[in-house]
Amino acid sequence: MSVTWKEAGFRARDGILAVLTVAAVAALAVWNALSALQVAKAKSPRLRISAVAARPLEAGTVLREDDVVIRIRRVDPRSEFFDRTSQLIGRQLSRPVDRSEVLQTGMLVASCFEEKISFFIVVDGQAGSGLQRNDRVILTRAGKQEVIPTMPIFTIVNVVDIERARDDKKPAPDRRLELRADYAADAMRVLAAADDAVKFIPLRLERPTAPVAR
Amino acid sequence: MIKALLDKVGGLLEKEFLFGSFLPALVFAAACVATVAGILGFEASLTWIAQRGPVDKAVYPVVAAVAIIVFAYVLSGLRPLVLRCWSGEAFPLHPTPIGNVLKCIARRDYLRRRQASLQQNRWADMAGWLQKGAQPKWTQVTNTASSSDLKVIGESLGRMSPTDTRALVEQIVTTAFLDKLDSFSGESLSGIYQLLKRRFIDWRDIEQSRLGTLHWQLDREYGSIKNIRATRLGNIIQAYTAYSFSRYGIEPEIFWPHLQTQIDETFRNALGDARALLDFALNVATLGTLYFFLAVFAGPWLDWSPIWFFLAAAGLAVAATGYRIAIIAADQFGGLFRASFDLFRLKLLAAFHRKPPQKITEERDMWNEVSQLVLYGHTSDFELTPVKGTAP
Repeated sequence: MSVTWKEAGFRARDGILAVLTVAAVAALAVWNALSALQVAKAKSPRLRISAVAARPLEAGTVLREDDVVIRIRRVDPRSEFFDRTSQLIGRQLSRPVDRSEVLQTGMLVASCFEEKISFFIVVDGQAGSGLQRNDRVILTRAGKQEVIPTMPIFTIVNVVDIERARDDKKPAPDRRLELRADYAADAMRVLAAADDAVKFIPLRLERPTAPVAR
Repeated sequence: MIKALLDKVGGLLEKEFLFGSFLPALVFAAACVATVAGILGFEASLTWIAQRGPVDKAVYPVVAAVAIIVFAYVLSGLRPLVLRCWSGEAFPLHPTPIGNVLKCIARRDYLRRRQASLQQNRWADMAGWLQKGAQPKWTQVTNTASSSDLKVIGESLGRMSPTDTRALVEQIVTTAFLDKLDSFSGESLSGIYQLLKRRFIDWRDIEQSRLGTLHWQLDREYGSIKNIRATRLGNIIQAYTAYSFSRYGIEPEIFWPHLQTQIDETFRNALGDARALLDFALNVATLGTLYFFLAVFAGPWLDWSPIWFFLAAAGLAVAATGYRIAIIAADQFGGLFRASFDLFRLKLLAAFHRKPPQKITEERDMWNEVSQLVLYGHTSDFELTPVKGTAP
């Protein structure tokens, strides 16, 4: 009584082609996802983030005791990040700067809300911050322990004072950091490539002095 | 000029467009924006919005609204294509191997159900058969069956069920009851006889109802064997499209526009509502599928995250739900479509200046003549009835 597949007009060729079509679409989706993953890994600099945090930064923003920063280590020296950083630092120093010099130069990367602005941030001391040479920092929004992907701007900061103090092997009499913000980038891509989970820890800084006008 | 413009604006407020196209477009746009905002961070997105200047804040919503309206119009314009795609009459289901396999599954289902619906009611004359078998033996003997005999007979007959074959039931009844009439009088077994007869009548009625339902469902869900489509929706559409031709000989695709001029407003509104629901469901299914493909193929490039697979699954679930609703809506629209031909075909025939037919065969002939003229241009010299105030 039952109707066979043959009676219903089933052809093996159609069945095989249908299975192959579905398999091909599925394979295409997997290949697409893997390609995207590969590109995402290759495109962004490899970073290790050990701390993050935040409040809004504006021109002249001063780091406070309750500020939290993202601290990024081990930036991939091959990344585009260093090309742009070299240019920016070179512009700031009014001389050509290459990658190796950037790597040797202690600097902080901070975020703010406006693109291409220049400002100084003055930090009184860095006790307990653990910041050191080759650290890069992104500052994010106040109270919210998350990075704003569209807003942040990487700010190139020369930690001249710290370096000078260390070179002299003396306790820093005035551990002020002059941070210069004049480099815009997409923090989202940097953070997306982070090796470690982002941890939020407070950066302990002393009360700030007044911002230094550029 | 101004009137045309106002007509366009008025058209925007038509419920068919608002519900059928604009609402799905709006929901889709909102879903896409929410997805991108979620990937970038809701707070970041809100901050970005907050930082826009007054001009941006005024312009962006207007641009977004215009874009959604245009998108909805495009969606509305693509309705025939979308319907054909979901009906299995266009790519990706026709003419492709996947479509052929689905069509084959549908054809097998149709054949099985048709076979089942065409079965004879095997319990139709069972009560009569029992009566015929019992009548000659009813008064052969005068022995009275004891209560234990009756119990044994009852237990034997209790093994029967309506799912058994007719032959098995006949065998059980013959052994357990009819043969006992050789030993006991019919009067003493009359209680069992009545019970059996009632049972067989019940079985007949249940089976009749089941077969009727099967036949009705087949008629609602499939057209003819030569018009089997790959999807259930396509088959439901074929089913109601075939109705007017199979009943009255009216070519539905040709005469539907004509018939709409004869349908009264209340009924036309009901048709409009059903069609709007069908459009809405189809557009939801289409945009859900589009979201699925965007999530699978474009999402990982925006930001690589496993969340895209969940979003893709959500898009697929929405598409499946939309398709299920479309099936219900098509069935509902099909009911009204059929009823339109049942109720208003004679008005349409009168509009063609044909005299009211006296018999259904006469009506079929009339529709055949009109079809020949309208569809093929064959002008047989059929009679026209003069209508008051107009020339024949």
